[in-house]
Amino acid sequence: MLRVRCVTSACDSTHIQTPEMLLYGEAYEKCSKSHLTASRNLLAGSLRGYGFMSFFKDAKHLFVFAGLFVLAFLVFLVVRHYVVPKSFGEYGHYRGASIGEIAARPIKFAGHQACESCHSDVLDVKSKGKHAHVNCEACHGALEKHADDPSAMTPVLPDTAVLCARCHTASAAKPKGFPQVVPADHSTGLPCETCHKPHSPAMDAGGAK
Amino acid sequence: MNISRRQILILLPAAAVAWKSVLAGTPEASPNYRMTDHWWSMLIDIPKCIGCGNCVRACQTENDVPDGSFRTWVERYHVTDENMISPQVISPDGGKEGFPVAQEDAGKYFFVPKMCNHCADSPCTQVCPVGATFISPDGVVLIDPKYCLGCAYCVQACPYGCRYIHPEKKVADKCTLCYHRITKGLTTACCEACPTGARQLADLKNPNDPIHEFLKTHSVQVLKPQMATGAKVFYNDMDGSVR
Amino acid sequence: MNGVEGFMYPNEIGLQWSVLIVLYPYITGLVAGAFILASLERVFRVEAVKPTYRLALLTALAFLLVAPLPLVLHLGHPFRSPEMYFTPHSTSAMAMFGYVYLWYLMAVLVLEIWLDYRREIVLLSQSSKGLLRLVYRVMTLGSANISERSLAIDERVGYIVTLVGIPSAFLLHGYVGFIFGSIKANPWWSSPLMPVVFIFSAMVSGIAGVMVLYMAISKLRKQAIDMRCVDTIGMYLFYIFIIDFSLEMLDLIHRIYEADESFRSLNFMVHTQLYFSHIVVQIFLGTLLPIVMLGVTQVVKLPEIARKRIYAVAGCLTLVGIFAMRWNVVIGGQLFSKSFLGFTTYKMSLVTKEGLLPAIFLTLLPLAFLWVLVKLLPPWSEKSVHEAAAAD
Repeated sequence: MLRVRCVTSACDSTHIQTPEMLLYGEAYEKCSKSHLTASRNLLAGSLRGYGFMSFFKDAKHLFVFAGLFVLAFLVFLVVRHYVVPKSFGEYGHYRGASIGEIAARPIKFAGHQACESCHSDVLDVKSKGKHAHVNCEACHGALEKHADDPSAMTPVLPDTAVLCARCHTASAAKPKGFPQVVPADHSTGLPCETCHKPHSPAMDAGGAK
Repeated sequence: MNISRRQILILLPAAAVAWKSVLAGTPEASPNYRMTDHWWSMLIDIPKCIGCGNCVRACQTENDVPDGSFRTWVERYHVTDENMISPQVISPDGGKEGFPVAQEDAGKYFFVPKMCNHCADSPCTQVCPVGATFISPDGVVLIDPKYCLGCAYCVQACPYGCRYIHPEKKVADKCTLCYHRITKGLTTACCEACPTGARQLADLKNPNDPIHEFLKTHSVQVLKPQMATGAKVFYNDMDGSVR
Repeated sequence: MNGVEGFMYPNEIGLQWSVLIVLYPYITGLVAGAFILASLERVFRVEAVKPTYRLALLTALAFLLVAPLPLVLHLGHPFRSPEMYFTPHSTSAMAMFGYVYLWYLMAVLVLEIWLDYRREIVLLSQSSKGLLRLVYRVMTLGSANISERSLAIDERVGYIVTLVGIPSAFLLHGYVGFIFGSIKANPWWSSPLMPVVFIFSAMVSGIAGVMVLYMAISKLRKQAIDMRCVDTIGMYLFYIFIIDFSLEMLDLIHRIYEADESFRSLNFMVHTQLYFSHIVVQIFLGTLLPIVMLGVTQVVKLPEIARKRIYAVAGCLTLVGIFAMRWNVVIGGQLFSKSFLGFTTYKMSLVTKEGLLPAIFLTLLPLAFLWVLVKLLPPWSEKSVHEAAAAD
């Protein structure tokens, strides 16, 4: 192995030289320590004496690194311009077009006004009874399809045994003033519409079948 | 009179859709709906709720809510202790099929329908990293399913537990106050289906809305007021034990 | 029904954030901690820890490269994640992730490693062959200038980068703490202490991690462990651990004392569901035991072999304990109902994308990355080279 002067000119020591040893030799450790302290003086001296072009030559790699950053940022800005949806920011920090998309979702319940426009006879009966404020679809289910095109879809009549029981089965949890019965005791197995017309359920002359 | 009204009521939704495609990008769902004219909220009248679960089923039908996830649900409270610390609360499948019969017992029972509170200072929209959830100019907190990453940060941030991640779409989802209905002059599916009028849609910007009178004459609360979320779902006669 | 005790809001029953979300703060914590250890030498001139300087930087890089993976795996729509770069929501702490991560990766870690290794990179680009030569040449960014002035400039710039890197490391992990700490809806998370606790536990895990790695790698390379180095690391680990433990105890005592509406529910949770992970693993095995062990080395003069064993065991216990801490925060925060009336259970799956196996894989992946980095940019001088030289 050759003993040669250190490649770094500020260092007076001699080192064993192969590229790997230059990298990792014990001598490199000692050498780099002295370089560290010398470097600051070197740098200070160089800025004073050498001018910008010389500085640039020694710091070129840093400018390349910074330049890559700037380039990446510019690419980012260009990509962003194309990728961010056009309506973003229209009303706030969100895609303004989504409001319209949500508003355009399909409707399943027609709403009681749609029913009442055709079935005014039912409305007449219902509005006089206790179910006046129970909307049609609360019992008959979602019927927009029927309201759109009545012949295309005929609603299925609900099963009163299940339907009425849901609301009117007695429970200590329900409000005290609410009409509730124990179905087994109350109707002894008969379906509710035996005695109660669902649209106007009161059991008086107008109600019972 | 009826015939022409029927024609209008059938044609209006169709016209709205057609109009929307004509004015592509315009958020208004019907030609004369202006977002800034409205500030939507809801009123829930606790003494009227009978726990029938109609609202939960109607919401699921209207909005294709997957089983196991809930845009709205009903809780049943049974309060026996006087300091209201430990109510017994159940919500079997969100109350979708109603509740089991309660036997007469000491203490009080009541039902509490829950949903998104469409908070004016919502913590969920605050934490969304990309702007996929927001409050619309008419006061409805919405989610943009095309932009949402599914990170679930908003689900963590909601104090009321009203959000979930849609199991198939993998985006956040929640009650939209039936935005697609209320912008067309209809009411929400849950309000439509409620047989006792326990749930009522309200428009705080509409001077004729009955909620203004109601708020003046009744004791109302919001859920978790200490969170200062600006919740807009008002509960009439709600017990202090409600969580 | 399905693991629920008491009452939970219906949408709360299934956990949203899985073990992957436990892994993410753990990994970024290791990054931040490893970097702080490296900065001990570079900025605070603690010469004793120099043998671990480069290893700490490479460890930080290896873990940082893996850090986004658990997040991306967790997302419902991972390919939409660039939205965080294009339209970050300024009120969301999570939106900071993209930029803080990128800043820390490129402007701090990669830059510092590059500047420190640049001389070797240039020399290796000249001396190596084949594909490796191309790799090194790209890394030189076209400059073969390793004159002492250019190296002096590197040294100065590197110092500034490390200086900026310390608050950046705090930001990288502190914002994760803030992500949890700013959620008023969750009383287990909501606390101004959360970012601070996260930062200090990150430092503890990172320092312990580098210490254990250094000892393990030295053993593998059949190199002597620099005892002055690990003794110094052990000392710093001990004192930072004390601070971390004090902060966690402060949080606990404050909670117990104030006993607000959430306390009964959280207290019950810690005593039942989280008993093993919180009391046994995090507090006892993961904090108290390592603190006592390290404390012993600080007050009693022990032989080298005893100290080595203590550092190794304490280091490993610490790493497990800090993982348990992340688990208790993330999973614990989702086990109780926000109604404070019930609890659910976390059913960790095995092979789904958010299961245990991907989590284990992602924990081991940084070690694979580290192995590649150590081969590409060796942190140490070769002893065998010394011996060959001495024989000359």
